[in-house]
Amino acid sequence: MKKKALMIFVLLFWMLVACTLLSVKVEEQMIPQVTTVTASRGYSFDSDPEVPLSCLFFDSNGMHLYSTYEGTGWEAGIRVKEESPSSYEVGEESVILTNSWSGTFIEFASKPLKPGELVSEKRGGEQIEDHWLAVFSQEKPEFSELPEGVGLEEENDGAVLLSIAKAQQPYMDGRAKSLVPEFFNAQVYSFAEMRKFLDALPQVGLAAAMILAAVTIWACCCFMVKNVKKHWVGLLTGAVLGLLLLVGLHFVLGSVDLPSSLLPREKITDIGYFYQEYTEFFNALKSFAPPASESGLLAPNLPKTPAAKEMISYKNTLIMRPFLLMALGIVLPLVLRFVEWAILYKRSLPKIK
Amino acid sequence: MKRTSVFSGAFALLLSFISIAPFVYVLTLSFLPASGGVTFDYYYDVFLGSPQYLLRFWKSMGICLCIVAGQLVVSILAGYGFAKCDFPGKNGLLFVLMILMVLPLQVTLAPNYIMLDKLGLLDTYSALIFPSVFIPLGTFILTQSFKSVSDDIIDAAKLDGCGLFGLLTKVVLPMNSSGLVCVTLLSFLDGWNMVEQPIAYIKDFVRYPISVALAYVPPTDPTLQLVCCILVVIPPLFLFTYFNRELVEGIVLAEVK
Repeated sequence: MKKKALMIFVLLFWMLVACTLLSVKVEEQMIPQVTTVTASRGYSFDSDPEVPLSCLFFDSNGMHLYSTYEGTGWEAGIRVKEESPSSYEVGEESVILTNSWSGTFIEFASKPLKPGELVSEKRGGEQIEDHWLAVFSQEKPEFSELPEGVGLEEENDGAVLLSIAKAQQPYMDGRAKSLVPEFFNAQVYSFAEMRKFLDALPQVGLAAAMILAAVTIWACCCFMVKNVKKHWVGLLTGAVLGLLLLVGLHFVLGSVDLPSSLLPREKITDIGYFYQEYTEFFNALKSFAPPASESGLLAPNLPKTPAAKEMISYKNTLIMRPFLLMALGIVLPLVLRFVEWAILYKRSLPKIK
Repeated sequence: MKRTSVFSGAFALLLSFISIAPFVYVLTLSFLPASGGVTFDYYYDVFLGSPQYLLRFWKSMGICLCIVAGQLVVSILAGYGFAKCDFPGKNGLLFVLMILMVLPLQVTLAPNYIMLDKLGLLDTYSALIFPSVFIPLGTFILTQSFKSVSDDIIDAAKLDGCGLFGLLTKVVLPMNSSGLVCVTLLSFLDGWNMVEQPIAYIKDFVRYPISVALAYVPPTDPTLQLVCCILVVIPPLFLFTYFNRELVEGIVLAEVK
């Protein structure tokens, strides 16, 4: 009874430590990154304060204007507050605040916001060369006049690939849509963000492998604990490995950096969301490829653009790694257990001189 | 005889049910949000979504471990002194200790506050740890427990060249493991469940242990609070499951003496 209780609580406490490490990382990754503006008065002193039109957020529930506030207690930190629709009017060039005199308003966000949510304010940020892929679920508009530094690389009926000379980091959907207004109804993806996502996959796989390894070691130890005297080396090895895995998990999680724009709104464990985003992105990229009948090949071709081609190849080289690592996480502890068993078996054999 | 045992069994069953019912209620409701249906969302929020609950849990655990370590040192030394050493006023001091033990916590709250203020320890973790280290219950239990060790054994150990430290670690403590476990458990639970002391001595919400912070969990949905309760119950549950025999033995030993 005592041994069973000990083993159950050992796993429970290991999981609690692992969950603490994971939750620190999950919160860090899930916090939406935002840029803010302060409400300013127009030309005259007695006019109502205004914020740019880009502060308005649109979704299936309509139009939203978000401001920030400082939370206290369990809700400490900068949080999102949705302004009541009666407190502002939408003008031709700006949003006029009729009920407030000042305040900080969110202009762009790396992902959709919800009231009360913790946000991280970003200022500045480097500018990099990037590609944006827009996927249209409705009719695609014409891309005739593009702003300076934006080039049309590929397009078809449902998607457009643009090259951006200087894309402000981190990528924010609203910022992209304010630069290219034709993106209004589209789902826009940044190549830099997708590459970042793919780069993080092996580390995520390694973290999952470590957790699986710990559970496998624990399961092996559950059998060994029945005879502590016989298996003390195995149990000690298991305990040391468990601790080492926790330390390792801390470092592996430290190196994980997921792109905020590709993360789900609610839970990071929403695998369906990742699958949907990933599928939509790569299906849109593959749709740029000419049909196989044109090249005479049976397999579908890659898109013509080097960036798109490179992205698909990069994905192909990385996609299986997390699964392999996870499988190793289960297999390696079992191998270790087998080795221990083999040594004990060999020792138990009678020695013939 | 048979009728009595049936009655006792039924009464024990009823008592167990009354004791377990709140826990089962909390566990069940932690999966049932106010909006209806069954969900693990609140478990995600507490265990994975945000580190603030778990970090506070570990912080409380750290405070409790400091309290346990401190109280063990104080109780072992004081208990041995009261049980096996002769000094003037020993019985009077033991009597004072027993009176202190039965005093309600609220009586000592204000004097402790003034002392902590003078020492400049208010609004620090030390304000929670130091007063709890000197709670007299541990000393009382170990005094009673050490009295069960025969003087002949101690004399024999001394003749063999055992010093005070050796005597405690090699003779007295191994013979009183139940009492030791009992003190460890009770002091841990005392620290884990403390509510009045943090409210009185700590102003900063960040320093509140989980026992107090639990009351401030955002009341948007009580289910979140219930999941936090599940988290809080894990360490005491482990201690009771693992050490239940020693705990009962320790308490019985203290009472028999």
